[in-house]
This record gives sequence, C-alpha cells and structure tokens, in this order.
Amino acid sequence: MKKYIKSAILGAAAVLLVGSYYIGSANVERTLPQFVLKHLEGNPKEAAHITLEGELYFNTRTRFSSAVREIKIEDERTTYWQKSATEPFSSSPKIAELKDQYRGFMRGKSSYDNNFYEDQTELLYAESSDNYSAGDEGSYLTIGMLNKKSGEKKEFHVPLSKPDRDSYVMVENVQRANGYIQVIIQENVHGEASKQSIRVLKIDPKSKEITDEQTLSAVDTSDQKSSINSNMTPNQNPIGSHPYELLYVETSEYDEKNGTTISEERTSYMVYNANTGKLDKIKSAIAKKQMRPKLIQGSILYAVQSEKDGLKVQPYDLQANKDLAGYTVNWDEEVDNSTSALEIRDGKLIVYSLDNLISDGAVNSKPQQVLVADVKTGQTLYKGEILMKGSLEPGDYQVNINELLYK
Amino acid sequence: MKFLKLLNFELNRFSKFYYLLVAAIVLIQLSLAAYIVNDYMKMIKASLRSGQTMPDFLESNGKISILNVTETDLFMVSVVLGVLVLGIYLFFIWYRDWFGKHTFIYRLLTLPASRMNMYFAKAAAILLMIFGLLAVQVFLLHVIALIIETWVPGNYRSEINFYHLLEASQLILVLPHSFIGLLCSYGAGLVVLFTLFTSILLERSYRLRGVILGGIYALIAILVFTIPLWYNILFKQAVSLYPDEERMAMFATGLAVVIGSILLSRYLLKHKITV
Repeated sequence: MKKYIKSAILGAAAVLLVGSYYIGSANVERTLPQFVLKHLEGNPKEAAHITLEGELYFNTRTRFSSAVREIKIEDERTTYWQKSATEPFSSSPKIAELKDQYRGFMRGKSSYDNNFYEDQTELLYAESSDNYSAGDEGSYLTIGMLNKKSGEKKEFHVPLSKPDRDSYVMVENVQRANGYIQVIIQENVHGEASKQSIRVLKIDPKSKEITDEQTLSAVDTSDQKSSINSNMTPNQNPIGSHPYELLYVETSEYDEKNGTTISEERTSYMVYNANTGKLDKIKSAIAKKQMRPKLIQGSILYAVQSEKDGLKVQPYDLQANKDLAGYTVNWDEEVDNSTSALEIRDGKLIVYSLDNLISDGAVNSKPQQVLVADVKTGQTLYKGEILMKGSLEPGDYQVNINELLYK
Repeated sequence: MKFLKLLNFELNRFSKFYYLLVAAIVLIQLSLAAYIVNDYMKMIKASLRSGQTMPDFLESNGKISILNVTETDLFMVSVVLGVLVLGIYLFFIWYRDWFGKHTFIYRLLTLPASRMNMYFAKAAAILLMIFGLLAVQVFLLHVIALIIETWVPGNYRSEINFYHLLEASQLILVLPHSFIGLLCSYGAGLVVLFTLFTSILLERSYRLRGVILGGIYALIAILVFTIPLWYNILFKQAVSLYPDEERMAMFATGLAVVIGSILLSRYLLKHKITV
C-alpha cells in the first residue's frame, strides 16, 4: 500500500481542500447583510404589505463588475436567492408565474409583459419576428392563444410589411376587444426616410388575418441632433385587460460631448380607447412641460412633477378626458425611470427608490425610501427607508430595487 | 489493483514536472500578493505623511481585498500556466508512450490485464492533477487572504466576505463559487478529456487517416454535447427547452459522449492498436 502514497496524498489533499472550500462557500449566505424597512412616519402596519425585490451587489471596486444576489426586503426580513445563469434576467414575477402555470404554452415565449394578455378565459401572446429565409425579408407576427378552461392551444402567423431591411417592429401591447385581438406595435424605419410609428393592428382570430390597421402616432426621426420617440405610458396591469393607452411624442436633445440631456419636450398627447377604436387629443395639466406621465390604472392616468415641497401628482381621467384633483406627496426625489418608481396598489399610491447609486457609480449615502400615500388625497400613510443591520459598511453593498410586491 | 498500480505509475512519471509547476504557481502568487500589499501599505503611509485623512485615502484608492491580487494579469498568467501545462500533458501522456526513449506502450499493451485499466489510469491521473492544482489554488487563496489580514489594518480592508469577493473574480472560471457550478464546469471538462483521448487513439490506430477521423470525432462529440444549446436557437418557438430542461439535456448528452468515447476507445485499444 506504501507504493500508492503519492496518489493517496494527492487525492486526499484535493478532496479535503476543495471540499472545505465548497463547505465554506455553502455556508456563506448567512454573512450577507440584512436589511429592514425603518419606519419614518405614518402607520408602521402599512409596511407589512410591502416586499421590495431587487439585487444586491458587492461593491468590490475592481475592474470587474460586482457579483450579484437576488434580494427580497420585507418589513423585518431579508431573503436571498440566486438566479441561474441561464434564466432570463428580464422575467417579471407575472411572467415567471405564467411559466409555472402554463409550462407548455409558455415554452419558447418572450419574457416581456408587453407580449401577453390574460383574462379569466384566455391567455394571448404576440411577438414580431423577421424572416430572412429564401430571400424573403418580411416580418411577421406570431399569435398564440390558450383557452385556459379547455387547455386548447392555437398558434398562427400574420405577415407584416417591412419597408427596408433594417426596419424592425416591437410589440407594445396585446388586448382582446370586441372579439378581435388588438396588437399595438412600434415600427422603426431606418435609412434616409427614418421614422417611428405606433400602430394598432386588429386581428381576427377566426380568419387569422389583419382586418384593420390604424396609425396612432408617427414621427420623423431623421434629425440627428435630437431623438424623437413615440411613447406609451406603462400600465399598472400590463398583462390584464386595459382599454386605455396614453401616447405622446418626446423630443430630447443631447450634449454630444458629455452625453447629458439638454432638453426634453413631450408633445402631442393622445388617448386611445381599444373598445371604441377612438383616438382623442388631450388638453390638460398633464401636457405641461415638466409633467411626466407615469402610470395608468384602469382609466386614470397619473402624471408627476418634482417640486420643492414634494412630488406633485396629477390624476387624469382618460375616459372622461378631464383632470381630477391633484395633490402633492411627501417625496423629494425625482421620479424618472432610473431613480424612483410609482405604483398604485389597493387604493394606495406607492413611490419607492430604485437604486442607491449616484451618477459616477459611487454609493449614495442617502438610504432608499418607500412612501405609501392615499391615492385620492396624497396623505402620507407610511414612509420608511431601507437600512442595513449590523456593523457592515453600507458602502460595500449596493441594492437595486426592481419590483414592488404588495400583499 | 492493476488500475491503482498504473495510476500511481502515471503520477510518478509526471511528479517532478508537476512539483515544479506547483512551485512556480506558489512563487508567482505569493510574491505578487506580498508586492501588492507592501505597495498598498506604502501608499497608506505616504498619504498619512502628506496629511490626508483615512476617508480621503479610501475615496481615491478604495479598500484592499483579495481581488487586488487575483485581478492582476500576472495572477491570471499563473492560473493559465497550470491549465496550459495540464492541457499539453493530456496529449503528452499518450504520445510519450509511443515516442519516448523506450516505446513503453508495447509493455503497457502486453500487460496481462484489460487495456482499459491503462486508459482509465491515464484519465484518473489527469483528473487528480487537475484537482490537485485546484486544491493548491484554494490553499493559496487562504494564504493571500491571511497576508492581507496580517499586514493591512482593519479599516483599510474590505468587509465583504472572502467567498463573495471571489464570486466577482476572474478565478470563477476555474473555481466556480457553488459546488453545482464545479460539477457542471468539470463535468464538461471530463467530456472534453474523454473526447480528446478517443481522438488520440483514433490517430494512433489509423495514423494519417486517423488525424482526420479524430478531428471528425471531436467535432461530432462537441455537436452532440451542445445539442441543447443550439437546439434552442434553431427551434426557438414551441419546442425550445426551459433552463432546467436544458441542464438535464446537457447532462444526458455529456454522459452519452463520455460513454460513446469510452466504448470507441475500448474497441480501438482491443482491436486496432496492436503490438
């Protein structure tokens, strides 16, 4: 047996050292920082409904990006888990739920809310693709339908026009209205006559054809100095039934040297009603220069504007085409796409910070906050901030919040 | 017992060179760690002498951690050196028997036991050496962490846990941070090992024609192993696999390639490679 001492030592050393490394690595999750929602004002019981989901980064200050953990912060508890490297990062909790529930139908489908529609009886899907086979450079829409009661699945393709090779189409919304599938698409055409348009396609699921097509907004994007976009405001319930859409044109001018935005202007506010097919112009307080259309819930649009004394919220009734009583909530951060988010849940307006980074990548010393306010009056029901427990230094960790779950 | 004898024999044959490789890696990594830590300490002292406060120093230089060592080019050179040497040895372990001073392969092939013992002993020797180097790397990482802990005052050291820091390191390529990751990475390595062994035996069996056959075999094996990856690209809609199914399928295709390689190698050793 003495003869095999080399093999034995090498084998034992390898198993012991590599094994101990992975035992240590498996137990390391308990050293991750714990976060809590610290009560600042209002009723602390409100915090029990809130769960913030996002990612924890280790601020390693090396040339490599930091490692990441999925994080769930509740009132008094922090939970960590790790997404598999092959899982799509963009998957929303609703898409993940649909993939669990309808594994067969959801196979191979995109991970974006915009591509789906769900009601009590059916689940619809629309996605645009390009077809380069046999010199045929067309685009087409793939429509998927699932009858949730019978489990019956249907899929068909609808051809789309393709003005040039580089143009592309994105699905912005899918709805079921008056027996038709209504798909709102954004088409981007490049080249000399570059333009961007938002169109609604009415598709008959029986004949599997487009029966009607309407352009909601079209802008010339050939101007190199500014960027012009047709925008749609996000909906609180992107996958469910929501007939109203708000569209506007946003023109941004950039300073090419330092990459900052010089000016932003939003114009041509319009509301589209999927049930009637009508497109109406909006003339209201929300069309003001500094107002930012933020969210639609049901038929109410919420536009916001950061002011000295807080965040001004202007609700607007899309059905009646009129302003509702506005108010100011106790929130002193900008509410744009990268710093804070706004949601309406259970008759409450919730504003929360998304990340604690400042522009140069350093960690902001100001903790991320959560505000719960009455959606009708703006009165603060709860305000709290995310704080790290223990002796660890906050600067070593960064938390990015992506989603709010409301129980 | 024949297998163990042959395994020990293979390890002994490479041991001197292996010790030299380990010594080179230890020397590079430890001297690099000492140099970086010493340099950082000099910077601290210089900043304190110039009247700079600790927060000012940390603002511009950051806290030191094991990543200051592992993310340098020289550190990665030492890691690549190990991978490269064992990669070359994978071919050398076979060809030395044919082209060495004494054509040793004839003695090995005439041993009164299954020729597969020799095949598995060579594979096991390479695996043991790979995991041996991995163990050395783990040991060195702890030593480097200890050097930083001993030399640098606490306020200047990152508070992030050792294992979490390593997750952000390039080292993750050879030392995945989870045991499942280790099994997946080194499982794929095992598939490559057996595929290359079979290609080598094809070359040894059919000589010039065997080079082409070996190449074709390696290509087929890679295609079969990666079926789940390109299947999802080709059949995006309706029939594509979920991530958990993709992992299971990769395990199955990897196993199929390993079994196929072993069976083909067995056939070649038994019927085509003659003394």
